[in-house]
Parts: sequence; C-alpha cells; structure tokens
Amino acid sequence: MKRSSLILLLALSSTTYAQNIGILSGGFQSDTQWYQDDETINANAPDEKLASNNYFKLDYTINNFSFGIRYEAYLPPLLGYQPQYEGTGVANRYATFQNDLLEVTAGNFYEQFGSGLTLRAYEERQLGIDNSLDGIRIKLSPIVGINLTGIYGKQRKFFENGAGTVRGIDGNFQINELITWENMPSIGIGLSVVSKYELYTGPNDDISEIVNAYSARASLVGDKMSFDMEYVEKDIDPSEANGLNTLRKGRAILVNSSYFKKGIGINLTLRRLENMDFRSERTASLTNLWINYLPAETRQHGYLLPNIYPYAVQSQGEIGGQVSFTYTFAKGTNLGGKYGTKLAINYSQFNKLGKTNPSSTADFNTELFQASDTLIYRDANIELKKKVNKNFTTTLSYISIVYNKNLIEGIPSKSVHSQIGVVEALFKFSKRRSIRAELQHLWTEGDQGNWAGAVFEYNMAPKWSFFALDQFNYGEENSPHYYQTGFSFKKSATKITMSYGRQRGGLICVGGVCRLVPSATGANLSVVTSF
Amino acid sequence: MKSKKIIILIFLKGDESPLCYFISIMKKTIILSSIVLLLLTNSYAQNEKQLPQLTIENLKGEQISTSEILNAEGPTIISFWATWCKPCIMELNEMQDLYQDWQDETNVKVIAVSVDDTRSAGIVPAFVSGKSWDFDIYLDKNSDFKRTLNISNVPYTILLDQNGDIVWIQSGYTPGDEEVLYEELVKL
Repeated sequence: MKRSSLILLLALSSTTYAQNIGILSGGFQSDTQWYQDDETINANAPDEKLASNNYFKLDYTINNFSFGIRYEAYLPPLLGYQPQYEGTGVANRYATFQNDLLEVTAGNFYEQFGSGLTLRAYEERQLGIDNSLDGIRIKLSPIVGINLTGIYGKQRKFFENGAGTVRGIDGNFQINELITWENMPSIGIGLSVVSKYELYTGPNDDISEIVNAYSARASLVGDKMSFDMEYVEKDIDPSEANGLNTLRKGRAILVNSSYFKKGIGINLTLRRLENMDFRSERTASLTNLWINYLPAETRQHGYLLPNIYPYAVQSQGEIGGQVSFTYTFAKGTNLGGKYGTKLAINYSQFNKLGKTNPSSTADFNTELFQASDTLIYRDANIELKKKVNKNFTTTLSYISIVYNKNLIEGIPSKSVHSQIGVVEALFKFSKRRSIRAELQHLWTEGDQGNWAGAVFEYNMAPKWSFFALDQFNYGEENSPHYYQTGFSFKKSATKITMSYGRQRGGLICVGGVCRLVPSATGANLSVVTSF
Repeated sequence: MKSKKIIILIFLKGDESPLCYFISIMKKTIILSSIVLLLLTNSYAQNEKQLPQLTIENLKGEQISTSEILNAEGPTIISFWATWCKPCIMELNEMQDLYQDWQDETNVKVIAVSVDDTRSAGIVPAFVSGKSWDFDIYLDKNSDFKRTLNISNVPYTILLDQNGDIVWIQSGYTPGDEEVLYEELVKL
C-alpha cells in the first residue's frame, strides 16, 4: 500500500469586531498504544507494535446554517477494534439548515426515535460503534408540542456505507403543550415506523427485501411520579445475526415508572425483548450496522471488579427488569450527620423467555408475559456514601452478581456466582490536594476464582492527577496482576492521559453493548481536546 | 477577549492505485478548500463563544431551546454528567453542598445535563431527587448537545457569564476543582 501525506496548515487570526461571522469549533481525540509481549497474561503484541485511533472534527455555524466534517485515522486500529477500520478518511460530513419551523440535514447524521428500540444512530468511540446515517433528515415543528422527523439513508460501515437503505418517520406529540388544563400532568404520545430495504437475489423465499418495525409509546409525568412505555413489533427478518432461521416476528416492551420527591427516588424498569436484532445488512455481525439500540437494563458499575461480569443484552430473547432506590438521610439527623448520607440500592434480573410456541402459524415464538426459569443475569447491590467532615468522604458498596457465562459469552460453563465488596475513601488534606483510594474484593468459587483490587489516586487540582491500580486474580493458577500506573493532565477543554500496564481481556461494555478485547500490555497515550 | 487561533489539519492518506489516490485527494481538497474559503471570506472566527442553538429535553419530555435554559439574572454553570459516571457525581455532590452559598453570593444557576442514554435516562428523575440535588436537569439521550460541543467524555463543565458567553471550561473532575470554579465565578 502506497502512503503519502498532505499537510495543510491554516492559520487564522481572530478578532471580534464583526457580528455574524459564524462560529468555528471542533474537537480532536487521539488514543495511541504501544504493545509488548507478555506471557503471564497471554498477551501477544501484534507485528505493528504501535496502534492509534484518531478523530478530528470541525464544525462551522453561520446564521441558520451549519457544516462539519470528521476525519478519522486508524494507524492501525487499537487491539479489540475491528481490523476493517484500518486506514484513513473522512468518516462524517454534513450540512444543516435550521429555522423555527424546520431543520434539514444532508450528509451524515445521528438520530433516535423514542427509546431507540426501532432506531438509534449514534457514535460510541470506546466500542468502535458509529452507525450514523448518510442521507437526508427533515425535522418539522409546525406548532409547539408537535415534532415530526423523517429520515432516509444508508448506515456507516467502517469507511463505507452498508448495503441496506433505512427509511423512517417519527411523530412526537406533547399533549399538555397542545391543550392546557389546570394542574395537567405532562402527557406525551409517540409513533414511529422504520423500514429497511436490502436487495436479495437468493433462493430463500422467507427472506424479504423490506423489513419494517413499528413502535407506539406514551408517557405521563407528574410532580412526584412518571410513567412511560413503548411497544415495538418487527417483521420477519432472517439474518446472520439471528441464525438465518428465525422465521417469526420480533417484539419488545419497555415500561418505566418512577416516584420521586426531594431526598427519595424509586425507579422500576421492565423490559422484554424477542427477536429484536435489527441491522441494515443481512450479513452484518458483531457491533456493525445496528439500526436499533438495545441497552442492558442493569446498573453500570463504576468500580473495576464488578465489570469482570457485565451483562450483555440477549436481543433474541430476554425478560426482566430493574428496581433502583436512591435516598438521602437528611442533614442534621442521626444518620445524615452534617452533610447528609446517601444510600443507593439496585436490583436487576433477566431470564430467558418462556416456552417456545410449537404452532407454525403463530406470529411469535413465545407468549408475551412468560419467563423461563433460566436465569441469564442477576445483580443486587447497595451503596452507602457518607461525607464525614469537610475533608473526608467514604463509600461502602456490596454487589452480588449471578452471571450465566454459558449464555452471555457462549462458552460452555456453569453460572458464576460472585460477591464483591468495595471500600472507597477520599481524603482532602488541603483545598486542592487529595488522595482517593479504593479497596475491592471479589469472591467466587467458579470461573477464575477470587480477585483483589486496589486503586490509589493522588490529585493536585485543577491540573494533575496520578494513579496506580492493580487487579490481582489470586484464585487463578498463575495469579496474574493486572497493574496500571499513569497520570493525567487537564487544562480547560484539554485532557492528556499517559499510562503503562496491563489491560484485562474480556468484555468492555458501554451502555450494555459490549465488545471483546484481548489481554494487552503496554503504554498508552490519550489526548482529548475541543475548541 | 482577543486571541489568535491556529488550526492545523494533518491528512495522511493511503490507497491502492495512484488514480484512486489522486481522486480521493481531489475530493478531500475540494471539501477542505470550500471550508477554508468559507472561513477566509469571513476572515475571522468569533472568539467569544456562545452556546449553539439546539433543543434539549426537560424531565417532562418537553423540547426546550438551549437559549431559554440559561440564567438571565447571573452566571450559569452547565455540567455534563451521567448516572454511571463516578467523578460526575462527586462533582455534583460537592456543588450541591456549596450551591446555596454560591447562589447567595453570585446568583449563579447550575444546570446538569445528563448524557445517559435510554439504558439509564429513565432513572434520572428518581436519581436526582434521591441525591437531593437542586439543579435544573435536562436530558441529552442521544448526545446531540454533547456532540455539538465536541465533548468526548463526561464530566465536562462550562461556566457562562450573564450574556451567555462561555468564559471557562473544565474537562474532567479532580477533587478541589470546585474551588477553582468558585474563583472564576466571583471574577464575573
């Protein structure tokens, strides 16, 4: 492959006399890693020891117009990202016109209908996901309370577009803005249709070139409570991702309700998914070309060890939900102390769907509200945070996870039952200097056995932070340490992080969407800025 | 505020055939030159940045323009956060402890924009009440606001003066940063 380079230097001096000269803004992100061989954790450095992901974005806005491009360079991509990303190019460009009535975008755009069960085009760099649509989007708001969106385009696939075309319309009607009564709660109704077209010339009669998904949703928000739900149905769509022999429709239900007043909050989320993998190319796999978004409805943990067993959504069939309870013991009470003590309890559980329907004429595989006894995931956790005095804050957490490794990772094995305890302390010894430490332990009889973990951070606000951490898998035969040390520097919109150490292989999940990363050892440099 | 801004674009390109390569360079040159031209005809880029015009969702599900959410009677702090982001919650807890004093002194308003996607956006109202936060809360479920401001990671905190001009930015949070923010706040 021939490589050449074009370097363009553009210097603009800027003053602020003229009005309406527009706003130029942008962002840059670079993640570079140097890899080493490391037998202890089975990490093999690739032939090219240096890998780097880079993103450079520029936007220009003037009056009712905005334009932008994003250039990306993977030289080559970091381990764990799909190798097809290798190369460089303009990955995103768009032009938008906007006024009070309408907004028109040509080029690449991101969009979400409702809760994303039918459509969500988004970017998640940590996972290497960018399923932006390349086409046309029109948004209309004829009157306050009515929002209509129409989209037409193809989705990004590495540096090209996928084969299928995605069309969709969405209407959102905020009833309380259309009709006003006294003390009326907020009521919203939404409808959307998303349709995929992909040419098919093969012999399989079950495969249809057009696949539609329909969604209806409603929401109700009062002063102390809220309730919303969405129901989705999707046409028969045999694809590589569902094994090409799924000849039933898909459907999803999401129900979300909350009660809240100052100092207390309770949320209950229930969700059922059946055959909901929806992509704009029949042969797409991994994290490619998703049209809809199916996040895990479980708590996303901030500590290291609970993330050894994260939930990955079972888009073909799961039923379950989660309950969260957040509470502040008021200031001045026995438990609240001077600053108020914060309590958070969360429970989530997902099971496989109930018995399969044997009838060949049935639309769906299973009854709507039937769960099987097969547990996929369960997480019960409690967290107590107390600010003891101005200089000392401590947090205690206990987490209990049941992880069906067989179903989640596809590796024949028993379910892993694990218990995790975390003690965290923050000690400020001056206004801007502080030490933060975490001690963690994971107990399990199964899988790789026990883990111990520790994080130590020395902070010099506002610019510097130094850290060292270790995850020690002493339950494993060769007892590897996954250590890492480094520092970060930040100033205004810029943040630079350098680190050296070992990365634990496994699932990296953001929003319950996961990618598998191999174990790796080496040095990392990350630069993020916006301007 | 006057300052010079230098923008450097570096393009590295590899392709199979020289022809392909030539075409792709041409394409890129056209895109780039149009942007450059656009900028040069205007000569200047505005430096005192304001918030871009966008609509953002409040906890009732209503679409509100970003120009309407700012504080008309004083400075505004906008903090981008998420329920799963530990440093974000540390920062907002600290701000909550100081909020009353800050308001008395500077009339500031704190806006907390949650970038939780649908995985956890439904939890936000209960979460915020449970934490006893007094901030104005908005939802940015598909990261449109975050993307427009080119924010890579949360927490990300912006201070705007009474005219809506962005005067200070902080990317990330280290304990004690609220002291720095306070110093900037009293300068206004």
